[in-house]
Amino acid sequence: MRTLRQIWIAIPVALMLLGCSGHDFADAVDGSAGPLVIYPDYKEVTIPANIAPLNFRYAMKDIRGAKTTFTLGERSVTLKGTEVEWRLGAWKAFLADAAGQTVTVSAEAVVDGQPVSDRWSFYVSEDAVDGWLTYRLIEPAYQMFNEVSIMERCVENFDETTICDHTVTDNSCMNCHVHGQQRGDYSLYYIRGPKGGSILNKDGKLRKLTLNAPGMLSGTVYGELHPSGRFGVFSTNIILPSFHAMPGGRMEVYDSASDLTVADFDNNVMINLPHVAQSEKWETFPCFSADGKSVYWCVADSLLVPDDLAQVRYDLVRADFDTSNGHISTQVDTVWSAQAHQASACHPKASPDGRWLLFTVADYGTFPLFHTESTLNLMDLETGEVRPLDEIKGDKSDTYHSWSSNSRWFVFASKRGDGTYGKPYFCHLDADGRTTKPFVLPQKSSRFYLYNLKSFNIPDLGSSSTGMTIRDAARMFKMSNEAFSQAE
Amino acid sequence: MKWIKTHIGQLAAGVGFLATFGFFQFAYPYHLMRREQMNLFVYDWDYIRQTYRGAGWLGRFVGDFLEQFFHLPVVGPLIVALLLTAIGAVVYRICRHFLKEWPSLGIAALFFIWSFLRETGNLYITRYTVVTLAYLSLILLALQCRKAWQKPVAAVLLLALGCWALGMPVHKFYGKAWGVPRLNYDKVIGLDVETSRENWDKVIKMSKRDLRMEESSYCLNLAHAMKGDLGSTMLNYAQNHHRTLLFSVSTENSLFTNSLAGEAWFQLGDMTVAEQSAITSLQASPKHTGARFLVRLARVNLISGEDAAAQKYLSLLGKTLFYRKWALSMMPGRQDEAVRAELAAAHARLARTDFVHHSNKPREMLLNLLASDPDNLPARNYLLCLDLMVYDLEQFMQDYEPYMVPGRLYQEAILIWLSQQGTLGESIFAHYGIETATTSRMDWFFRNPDRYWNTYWAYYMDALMRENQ
Repeated sequence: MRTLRQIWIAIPVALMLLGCSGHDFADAVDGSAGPLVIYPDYKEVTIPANIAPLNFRYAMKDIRGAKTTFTLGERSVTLKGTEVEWRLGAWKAFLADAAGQTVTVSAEAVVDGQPVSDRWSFYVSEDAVDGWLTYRLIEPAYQMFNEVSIMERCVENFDETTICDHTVTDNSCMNCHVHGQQRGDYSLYYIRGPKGGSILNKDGKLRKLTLNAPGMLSGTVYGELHPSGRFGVFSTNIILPSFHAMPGGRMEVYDSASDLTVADFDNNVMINLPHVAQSEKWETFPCFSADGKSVYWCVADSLLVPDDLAQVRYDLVRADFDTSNGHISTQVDTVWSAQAHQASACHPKASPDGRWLLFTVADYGTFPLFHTESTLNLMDLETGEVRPLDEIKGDKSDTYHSWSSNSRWFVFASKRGDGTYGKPYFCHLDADGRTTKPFVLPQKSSRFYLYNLKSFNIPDLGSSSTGMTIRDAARMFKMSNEAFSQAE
Repeated sequence: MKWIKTHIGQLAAGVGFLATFGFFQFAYPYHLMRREQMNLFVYDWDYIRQTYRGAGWLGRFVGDFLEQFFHLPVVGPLIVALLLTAIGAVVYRICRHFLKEWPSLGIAALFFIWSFLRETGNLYITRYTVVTLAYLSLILLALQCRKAWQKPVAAVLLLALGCWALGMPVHKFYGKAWGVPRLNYDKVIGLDVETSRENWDKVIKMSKRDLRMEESSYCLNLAHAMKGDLGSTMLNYAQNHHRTLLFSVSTENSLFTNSLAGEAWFQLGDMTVAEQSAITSLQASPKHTGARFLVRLARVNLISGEDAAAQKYLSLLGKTLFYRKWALSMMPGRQDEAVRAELAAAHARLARTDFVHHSNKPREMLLNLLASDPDNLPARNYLLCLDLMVYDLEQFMQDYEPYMVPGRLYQEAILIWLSQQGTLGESIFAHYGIETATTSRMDWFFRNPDRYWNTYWAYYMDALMRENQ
């Protein structure tokens, strides 16, 4: 009997050891350059002093005896093993006064029986990044959904909380948590479906709104909240997901119609203006300037889709915004011409200091998530000069960006590497618009991205926590919606 | 007789065990295999730590651990039979604390049957049987206490421990309180499983009895297309117009249909639809990590030349017990000559011209694939059969090239078209390779159409008659 029991215990243990042994699959998906390949690639990056530990692993076959030494001035810390994972306290202590300094990393290991060493550094910026990041976790299908969640992560450590998920919303789809002016107590997200609504978080007080009124194409989709707290500018879209015949193209999502609308949260009205809801034009991706006195959005001529989809290119335009009544001026200026660039603009986002406008440029269309050519472009709003940020471009799409409140950092979703799963990358921008090598959101486990099968969708930075929890989502889901009517 | 009386419990357990094993092994053989395809157990401490945390961690861990063995024939039914027998035995032991033997046996039998029926449920996963068994064992453990006051205290403590480690014993999708075996559904699941394994002969063999379900016809169509005889066999079994040829990936379809949709498109060379089908199926698997779909995603990306994406899936599969060897053999940089040749052949089939579609334009998609590779015979067969099923003989004649794709139904369709054109004649028969036997059979068809129910003439005439009505 005793022997039998020992066999029962021995079998799973043996199997576990069998499965967990060896490093046959340690190849990097998108590892660093250099004699010792690390993933995530944190070599020669610029990081904020308040970021969570940059945990990484040596993504090489047959690597043994790795020793990694981090040196900052007189201080040095050595971590042993192929998975370089810091304790949070040790990392914070190490970086306590590191702002403005360079950390050098020296590493040695035995690879294929041969000793190999490497050396790199990372710069700790004096500019802190906003401490909170919200995103939606979803499989990259975009046509169907199941068990979607919106999360909030503290980027200073590894704490992640659920703002809303399928368990409290009858498995409804949900999307787009966006902060207003990077404030944690001013934000909005959607729960779709019959019992859904737009959950507006204003000064920490939650409201469930139906941002729809007769005559609108749909409920609101993309948008941004006004600095005053009274308005939100949104697009309404008829969105169609589709497939590319060629495998590299994967999915294409396009609009067959889209308009702009303004929501007045104080008076519960939708302000629908004919000049931004033209049937022969498609208007989408609106955002406010930092001072709230202008609205930027993308606009294209409506064409026959999907047949003429490759010719659908969006201009980037600007108009004054009247903060007294929520009206967008009829005087619309093109600030970036699709015709001139033979490309399409999307997702404009103004920096909080009012200096920059960051937007994505792709060959065509309105959904660059699988467009490998998509590149972030930076517009200097003082000079109107536009620069494609080629130096930070990955081999796959880079899009859905969000600014930190000090305008020195932005985060964007990049599919670099595997091409399928979006991951949040942070990039530093100095006063002159110079960028540094982006780095991916650090995770507690250095193998997290190897196993993760969900996209980090619409990463959005906040200077404080939203304070929203899944209990709030459950409560809001059960609440009835506040109706909005068409403005007179 | 006395021996039977004293050993009735063991006998009942033995009968229950054998009946359960026999049922899942012989009458319901694909139910557990499909369950394994929707599951993934990764041998990596870090992954295990990430995945099995929070309430119910132990229940999930043990359930997933056991389910991986359903990959093997015999082992799955054996494990389930053991679990269910254990449930019966534990219930019996609990009841014996309060009742006499026969009532205890009756209650144990009821629990056993209830657990058995749950196991047959469509989306049911093993975790809930494990959790049920574990809770029952905790109750039994609490009853072992000698003093009366200890029993409720132990029960509360053990239940609290159970809630933390095991979670709930029911779930609205995957752990329903009731299930009923659906034998025909298991046969369709079987076709799906064998289709995913590319066992075309087995799919054909299993379809000897026409299930008259869209999904079964779809699998059979694919098997015949891969064998090259779809153009001869398609009307030997039920078809729902052209809809059973190729499925789209759409929100309007069931998850099962969306999952199947990728099988044909993968074989034909449309990796985009195959990939979306696999991702959609992953979403529908209990932990969003079905091994079958990760294998498909790895293959899709290897064929498409997206090695970095393929590596991600292969890395995961490389940490499993049963897919490790395959994953290692497919890993970029480690493939042998045969694997490289197989991938190159599949790569050659990919579309080289892009257009955007909703996967509901099979004709355009097939033409696009054939433009890249005119020798893509499965695609050619599907195109011709699609033309026939939508009664479009003009398109069929444009798509058809004599002697390129053999098929009885093609010859029958050509004879209809030739008669409509008024160009029947020996020379044109020779041009299209129409055999004399076919023309004779057409004569016989007009005399006795019912006997030739599986000809294209019958299919076409049926449409004409309905049109005239």
